[in-house]
Amino acid sequence: MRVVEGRAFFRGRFEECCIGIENGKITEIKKILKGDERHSFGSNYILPAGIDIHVHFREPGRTHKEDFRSGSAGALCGGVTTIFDMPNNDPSIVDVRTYQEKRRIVGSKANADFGLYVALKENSSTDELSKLGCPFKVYMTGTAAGLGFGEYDRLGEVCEGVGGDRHVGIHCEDKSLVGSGERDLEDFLQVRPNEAEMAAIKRVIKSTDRKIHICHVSAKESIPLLENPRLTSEVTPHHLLLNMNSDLEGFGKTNPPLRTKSDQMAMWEALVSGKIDIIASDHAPHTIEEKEQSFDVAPSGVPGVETSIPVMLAYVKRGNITIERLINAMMERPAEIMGLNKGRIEVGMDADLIAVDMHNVTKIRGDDLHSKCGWTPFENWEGIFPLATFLRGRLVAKDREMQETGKGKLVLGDEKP
Amino acid sequence: MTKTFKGRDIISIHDFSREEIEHILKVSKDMIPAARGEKRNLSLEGKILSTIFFEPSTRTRLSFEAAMNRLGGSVVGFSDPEITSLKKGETLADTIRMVESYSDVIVLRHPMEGAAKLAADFTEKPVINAGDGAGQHPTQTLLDLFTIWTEKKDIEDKNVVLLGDLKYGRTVHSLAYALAMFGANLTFVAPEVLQMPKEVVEHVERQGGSYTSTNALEDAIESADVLYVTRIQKERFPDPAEYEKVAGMYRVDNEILTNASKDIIVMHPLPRVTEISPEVDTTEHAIYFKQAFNGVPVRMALLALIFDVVK
Repeated sequence: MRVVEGRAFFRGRFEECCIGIENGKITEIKKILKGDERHSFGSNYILPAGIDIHVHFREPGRTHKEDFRSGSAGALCGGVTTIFDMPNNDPSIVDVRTYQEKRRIVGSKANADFGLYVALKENSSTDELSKLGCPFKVYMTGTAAGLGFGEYDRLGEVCEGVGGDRHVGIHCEDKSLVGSGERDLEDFLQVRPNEAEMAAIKRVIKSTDRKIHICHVSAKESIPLLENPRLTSEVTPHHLLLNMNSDLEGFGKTNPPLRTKSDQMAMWEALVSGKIDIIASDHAPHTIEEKEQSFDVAPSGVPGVETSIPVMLAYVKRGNITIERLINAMMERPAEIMGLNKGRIEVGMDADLIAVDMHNVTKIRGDDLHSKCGWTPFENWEGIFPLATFLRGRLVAKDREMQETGKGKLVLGDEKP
Repeated sequence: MTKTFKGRDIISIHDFSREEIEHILKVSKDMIPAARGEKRNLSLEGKILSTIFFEPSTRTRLSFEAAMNRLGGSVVGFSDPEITSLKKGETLADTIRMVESYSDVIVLRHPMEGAAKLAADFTEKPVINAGDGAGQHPTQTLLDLFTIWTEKKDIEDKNVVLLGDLKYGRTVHSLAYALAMFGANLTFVAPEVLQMPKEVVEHVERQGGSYTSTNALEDAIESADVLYVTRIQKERFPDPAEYEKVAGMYRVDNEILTNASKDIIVMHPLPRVTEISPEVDTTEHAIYFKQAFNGVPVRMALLALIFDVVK
């Protein structure tokens, strides 16, 4: 038996204890346990590892920005053991064939456990897709990969067609309210206004009675709509921590856009109070060269999978959010939303754990991260990186360096397609 | 090191060094005559303080309002979320945005832990935390320290007994930390299920503080200089009989005080229910009403420091 020892978050509070692990699962939690492999973290925290349900690892097709190896290495070193990868690849992941092909390509490279989204369009073969058991994504505006959902009238039917128990996440921006020709971050907010997000969420609520996950909420007007019990939602660290007045220029260009300070504060309040369920990074790396182009042609997206837990833990330390709420938003609730046997330190759960020293505050630097893109919007911000990350009981990362590679497994959907 | 107080947010007692707290206590002492109305002080004339209370707390709000008025300033605010736009779902973000344009300093009470820090991050105006959920209530801690310091001439090496619900009572957590920083000797008296949480004890240890834990009040108060009493809430006990037993064990009356030094002072953050017998009120030991008054000079001192009208 392997044993991880420290002050673990167990049954809603921190207790010094030993976590016994066999075959990748937590089998015992006791004050004292003997084991043949022991990892002791003294009085440092042991938390369930993070689950990031929204990342873009760019494989297949745009592996100069990121690939499954680099993306998932970053995830592990930032304390995330499970990621869900978006379908805007080249080729786009839109049917059984492209899904299985992506599954084959990335499967052996994944350092973290993973799930793969399939994009739903107005003409998707939902019967066939529902059998994959994977999560689904709807883009209500066009994407670089041409994945925008065409006829909004078909939205309800398509989302229901894949089966009520499947996860459907929607990027909510109404395409009729989204323009182009943006010149800078402030102007970008005119081009992609708050109303576009609010109108899209309203349309989603009207279109279907099934449960829907709203991706990256960013506009304060959206918050009251989230009280609908059929909706779950996520917010990104960049929408919590940055706004249109930041000096990031093209590096701060992302969809939905960075909005006003007042929107930013409303995101915090909604997260802390639980109106927004979870945090997801929307890790969307582009190279420095791509982001340095003139604002209107620079691609949208910022990286974040490796920094989301560290930067948020620094905000726990500052007193903006409790550790309990953060664990709920980055570990427990994402596991519940995706239906995973993870996210809590309990007997029977996967032994996905991170060890954290809350005094170990460091400066975040793009150069120290694993992403191929080589930069972060949080350059020089404070971060608390995990001391160690365990994936199903294996020590896969330690002191921000990889220990074991290629151990990731598909966690949602058919293991043998 | 002492940072400047000008324009500073008052969010958590942890934001202050010992030197800074000592400075606040000294300024508070100077404020007493004006706090009593014996001396005129109009140094904040023309300034406006807003009190935004998302949950009621009459004592804290009145004390802030009195403090601002005693310094010649004015107060705007609300304290009943039921009758304001908050009822209609207005967010903290929008509320802060509104009141920052009406006032020069914002006093906030909110049920959500972290609300004060959040508000402070999003407004240029100084924010004073008047309690955020299970979080911090720094001005209460400061007035408690001020009371011990003025009554006992010093805090260092004083024997302070903290009694009652030490597990859930946020006032005692911040107070224990601050007392340890000042080198007081602490005794935690509580039934086992309501003892001081480990995180707080570790915080005390990290400050180099000495402490003992016990459930026996009689022994603990023998050498005590200060007895700080908190309320034990009925809801914490699944069995009402168990509550009655515990509440009875820790009721402070004249009889139990015969075990204590004649100079012992009894403190309580108020409101009191049955944990201190009314017969104690007329003794020299009872300091809790004076403690409540002390909220005024301490809050005056903070306001004067924030507006930079005292050094």
